[in-house]
Amino acid sequence: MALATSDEPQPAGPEDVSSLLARASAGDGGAWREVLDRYGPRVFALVRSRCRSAELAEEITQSVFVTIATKMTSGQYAERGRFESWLFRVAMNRVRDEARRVKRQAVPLAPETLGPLAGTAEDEARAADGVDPKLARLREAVAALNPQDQEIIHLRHHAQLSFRQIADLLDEPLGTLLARHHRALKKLRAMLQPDAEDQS
Amino acid sequence: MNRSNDAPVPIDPEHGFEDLASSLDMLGAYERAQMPSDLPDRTMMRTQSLLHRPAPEPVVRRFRLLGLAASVALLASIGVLVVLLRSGSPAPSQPGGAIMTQAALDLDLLDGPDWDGELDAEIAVLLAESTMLDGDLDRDLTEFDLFSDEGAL
Repeated sequence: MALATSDEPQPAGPEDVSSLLARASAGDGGAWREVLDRYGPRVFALVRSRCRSAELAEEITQSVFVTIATKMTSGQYAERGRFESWLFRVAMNRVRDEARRVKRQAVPLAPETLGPLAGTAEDEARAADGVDPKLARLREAVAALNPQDQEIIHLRHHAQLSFRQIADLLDEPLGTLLARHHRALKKLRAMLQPDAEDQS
Repeated sequence: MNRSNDAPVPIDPEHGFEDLASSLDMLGAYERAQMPSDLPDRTMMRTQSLLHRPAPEPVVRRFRLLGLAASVALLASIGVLVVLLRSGSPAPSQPGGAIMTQAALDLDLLDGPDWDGELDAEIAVLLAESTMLDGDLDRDLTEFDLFSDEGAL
């Protein structure tokens, strides 16, 4: 497992999170800004990977934090060391809501032409712009996985959640989740195998 | 990568796929870096008004709930009262009065339906001696308007 680079937000220890969230809940603007800086990129990366549209991902990310702020400042959230699971559950639910909304509005004759939250061609071009070719291939391979496998990969590697947090969020036994993750990696390896052979 | 809640796990699903997992971490880092730099500022602006609303203390919240419950109970009581009044049912008689009336009827002291409700002191004494009174003679008799203006038995 690669170490996160120093310019990335580092997942904090539980004590740090507790005091930070307590201050944010009390309306401390600085603490709230820190919450946004710390978790914003992780939420955005997860949402962006699930909906492919950068503009929509920004909107959903903002609405997730508005929800979080509403709950926290109104005393509806009590910190018990599960903030991240809760935050990303809210994010996943918001993505699913959006997918359902888009599906309802989709043209019935050609549902396969538009994934529930597919981005525009401009989005795709922007996403591909400047990406390392290896990463671009990896991203394509992940996109070719079934939605359940994609979900685990995104939660693990984009949102930086632990396996326990993912199991909690998806309401699955830890063992089942680990096995699913292992199978997803296996499928990815199989998809990327020709590249590996080319290099050798 | 520091995922603090990882240990202990029964198996390592990334065993044998370390290079792939590492590449996925790099992809994740790239995706996180794609967040527009002004997104936190814009989000901050949207949540600004929420932050200035102080969180209610637990005790205050509890009192609010109690207040709500009391309001509902009061409204329900008023509603029942209104329904009773509209239905024309007579107001329930005073318990003391009912007891004394029953006592008087039992003692055959009252003159049937023409009785006008005024008992003289003699009848009152008889009632007072009956076991159906609860001992608070003054109160019971007062309720039945047994006293004259002088207020003496």
